[in-house]
Amino acid sequence: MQLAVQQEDADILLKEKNVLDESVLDKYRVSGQIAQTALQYIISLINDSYHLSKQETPLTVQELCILGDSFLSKLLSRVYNNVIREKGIAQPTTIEVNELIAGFAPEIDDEGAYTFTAGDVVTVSLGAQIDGYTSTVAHTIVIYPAGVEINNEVKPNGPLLGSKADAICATHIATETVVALLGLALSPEKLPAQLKVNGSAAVTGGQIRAVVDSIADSFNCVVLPGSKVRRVRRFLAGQAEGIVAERDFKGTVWDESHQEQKLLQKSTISSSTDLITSENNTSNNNTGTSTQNSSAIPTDDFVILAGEVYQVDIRMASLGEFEEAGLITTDEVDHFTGKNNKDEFNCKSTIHIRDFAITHHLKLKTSRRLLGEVDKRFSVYPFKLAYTCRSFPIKLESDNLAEQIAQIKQELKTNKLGLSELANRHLINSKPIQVTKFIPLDKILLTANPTGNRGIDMTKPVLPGMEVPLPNLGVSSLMLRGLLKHGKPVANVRESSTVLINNVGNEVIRLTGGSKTSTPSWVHSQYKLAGPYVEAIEQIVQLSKDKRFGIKVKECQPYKLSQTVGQAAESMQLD
Amino acid sequence: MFTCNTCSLTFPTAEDQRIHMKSEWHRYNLKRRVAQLPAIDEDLFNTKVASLTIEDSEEPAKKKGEKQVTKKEQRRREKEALQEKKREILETAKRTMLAQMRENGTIIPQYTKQEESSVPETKPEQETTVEQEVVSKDASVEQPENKELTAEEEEQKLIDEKMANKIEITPTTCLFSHPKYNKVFATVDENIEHMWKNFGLYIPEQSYLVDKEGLLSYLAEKVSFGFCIACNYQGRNAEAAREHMKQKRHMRIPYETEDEKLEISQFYDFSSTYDNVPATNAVATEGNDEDWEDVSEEEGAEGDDDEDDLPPAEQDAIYQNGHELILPSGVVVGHRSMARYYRQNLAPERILSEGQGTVIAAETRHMLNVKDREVLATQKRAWSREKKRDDINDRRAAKFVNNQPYYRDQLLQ
Repeated sequence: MQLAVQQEDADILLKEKNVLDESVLDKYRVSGQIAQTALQYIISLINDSYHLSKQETPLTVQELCILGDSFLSKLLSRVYNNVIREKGIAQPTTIEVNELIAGFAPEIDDEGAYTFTAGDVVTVSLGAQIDGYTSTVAHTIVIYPAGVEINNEVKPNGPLLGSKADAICATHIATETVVALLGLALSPEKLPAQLKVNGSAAVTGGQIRAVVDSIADSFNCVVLPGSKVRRVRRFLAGQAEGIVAERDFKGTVWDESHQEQKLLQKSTISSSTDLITSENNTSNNNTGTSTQNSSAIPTDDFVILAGEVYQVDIRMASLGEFEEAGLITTDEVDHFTGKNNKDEFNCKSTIHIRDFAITHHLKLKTSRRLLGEVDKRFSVYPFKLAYTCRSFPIKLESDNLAEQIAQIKQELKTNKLGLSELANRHLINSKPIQVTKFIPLDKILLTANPTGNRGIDMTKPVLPGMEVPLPNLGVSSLMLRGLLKHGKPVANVRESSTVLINNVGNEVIRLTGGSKTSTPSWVHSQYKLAGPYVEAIEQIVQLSKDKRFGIKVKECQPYKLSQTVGQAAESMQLD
Repeated sequence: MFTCNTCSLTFPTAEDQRIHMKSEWHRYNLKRRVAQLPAIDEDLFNTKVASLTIEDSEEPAKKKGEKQVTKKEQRRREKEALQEKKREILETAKRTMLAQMRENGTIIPQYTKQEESSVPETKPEQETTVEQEVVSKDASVEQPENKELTAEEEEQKLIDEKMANKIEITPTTCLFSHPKYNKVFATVDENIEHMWKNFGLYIPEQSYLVDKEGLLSYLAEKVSFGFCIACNYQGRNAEAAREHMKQKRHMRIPYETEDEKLEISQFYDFSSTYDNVPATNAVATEGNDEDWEDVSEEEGAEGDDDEDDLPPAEQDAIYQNGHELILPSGVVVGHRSMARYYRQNLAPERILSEGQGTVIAAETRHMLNVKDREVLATQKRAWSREKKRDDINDRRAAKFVNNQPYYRDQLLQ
């Protein structure tokens, strides 16, 4: 490897800089506040254009994305100006509707009319980092049909019902429970007896998985691949998952194999036991062979310690719409039209991330310039091409928003040329746009699988050691991709928040999410919390309710939004 | 008739001839013949031998020893002798300095003790001369107590002779013209002008020259003692030196080597050129003196006061750094032999930001492919074997490729 960091430097960067002292806490807090404020801003924009109908034509996803990014940049430009070298957007604003799950942040020059309709579940996710201390947030809201006016306020007619509502309920409960569970790392002796393994009081990854899975089960939902509760370190906030195999990965990660395990458990109870062949069983053990360094492979046997920062990112989808058994996987959307003679949703991925392990001398001048800028400005965090434009960020206060946007569109053209060379040389990797799809189990079982689990789908970013999605059935990711033609899209819900377990102040600081910004929309689920862990969950949530009971949870408050910002969005409608 | 052609002799019997042929005289004549010299008669040979044996008897042991000495050995001895001499000179210089310091009372006693204990054991005779020198330098008084003339005294004697020969030349007098022309000018500048126009005497670095008169009087003194100003020719008197300088065109002030520059440096002031050079460098080079042993020894032999007068930065106008010279301006001058390395166009080293460094430090992806060398070798062997097998297979298959019994046109069917 060309690049190497000396051991002492690595120790400083990976260990010492992650010790939560006053300045680190402050940086985390500020980044959390910025993320919270931006989330609130985007939700208010969506509410204004879709629920309150303040504008004639509602804002499209492209406009929401660029407004959100500009707002984030504006907030970031106000803090820590001469103190630190690196700060910026840790995750570009992505707005995913229904089955879209990740990476959907179309550029402003995208022609598609991406607007929402009533009944959609819209996930807004974004993140900010200050000196590498990262806060990310994601929240799912519901688009309601035209509401009724009560006390001069427009309110929806009624709650959202159905499978989407189930998912929203389950995700919300799961997130709150996990946050409380993480908080118990400060005082593990208060852990409910049910969760204590062999009487030892410690919060482990296995407990998190068990609790989240039981909540999902009780709401007839599945935890989607890509969900995770993982430790966040400075500059290592999971932004390059699937590209960088991170040393000392600590976190619980869900993927297709966990759904498979559940399905197989059910099937062994009911009928056939010979689904798992001996050959496939051995292949299961080989999943980790491609990565020798075990610390990069996620496992559940880790203990959550005080003084760490965790990202709780839970995505769920309801199985209520489907009668047959099956599993939900992700499909990468590309920009090629007309595959399988179907009129599918197509979009080019717009979020890119630099891979620093690769060096290449570029030919084009524009690409060299672009690479220099990317290395300098965005460093290890993902970026959109719009960020490299000179007119970015848009000045939200000024009146000529339309002009500024036209300018960005113009500049995007020149940058696109450079970008393609960077992508071809793998200097940057594009983050795929993913949709969730339900594949019936019988389709999986009935396919011929002559090549075994050897084929790896390179377009799908996976963590090391998780290259084979269905190890027990011996289905490779490439095979699973082939099966996606039988898949049916399924709407998903995502809640993400960053939680800081402060061992100094003996408190839990919820950097993002929480009651201020991520209150769940008005939904009604037909299910009730059930399963083996009901009591434990209730106990944990009770503990976190008040600091006298157990866990002191402090939430990062967003800044107060000024009125001018709202007006900016209105003036944008003039063009 | 029996003869000896070499010595042009005749012998009556063969026996006589044989005896002659075995004699030293004949052998000597043979050697002379080889050297194309005429033969000598016996008497002459005998006198020669007699004279040589006297010399031999004077120092027979030495002769014997020297006969066995090889050239290499000789050279080594010469070198040793030279080094010994140098060491002695250094020792002398040290002594004088010590003495001076002792007088001033600034010496560390430990150092003195060490010196005293080490020196007398090795050369007690040296010490006497040293002491003498010390005394003569300090008091500048002759000490005629010792009967045998030491080297110092001889030198002193020579100097005295010179002093007697000395004639006074003023700085306004031409250095090279014979006194009969009476070339005496009103000012120093006129004199310089005259010498420049008539004899081509060029005074180097005139812009930094602060003591023109001093320089001229120094040169005049040199000439008056009978020295050439350009080379180390030493004439009997000033006239001899003038004659030498005119004939050899030595009417110039040498200003090339460090020593030559140092000789007249006291009349110059270069402080304007090294204003911004930090003083620490001077200290650093002084510390390095041990590395440059030979240089410092020679300087010590020539005179300590020169070194003291030298401004410290003068030596540090150029810093040496292995194969590079760093000029005060910051320009690095490399040696020609390294040209190929200077010419290569290497990509600049990547400087990682903290974020990039963190990600690279946490990266495990690329460490995965680091393979054991042996494993790789076996794998390569296996690959080459496989390739070979494939090639053999291909060749075997090629035999049966074209064994179609009947020709069928592909297009016609």
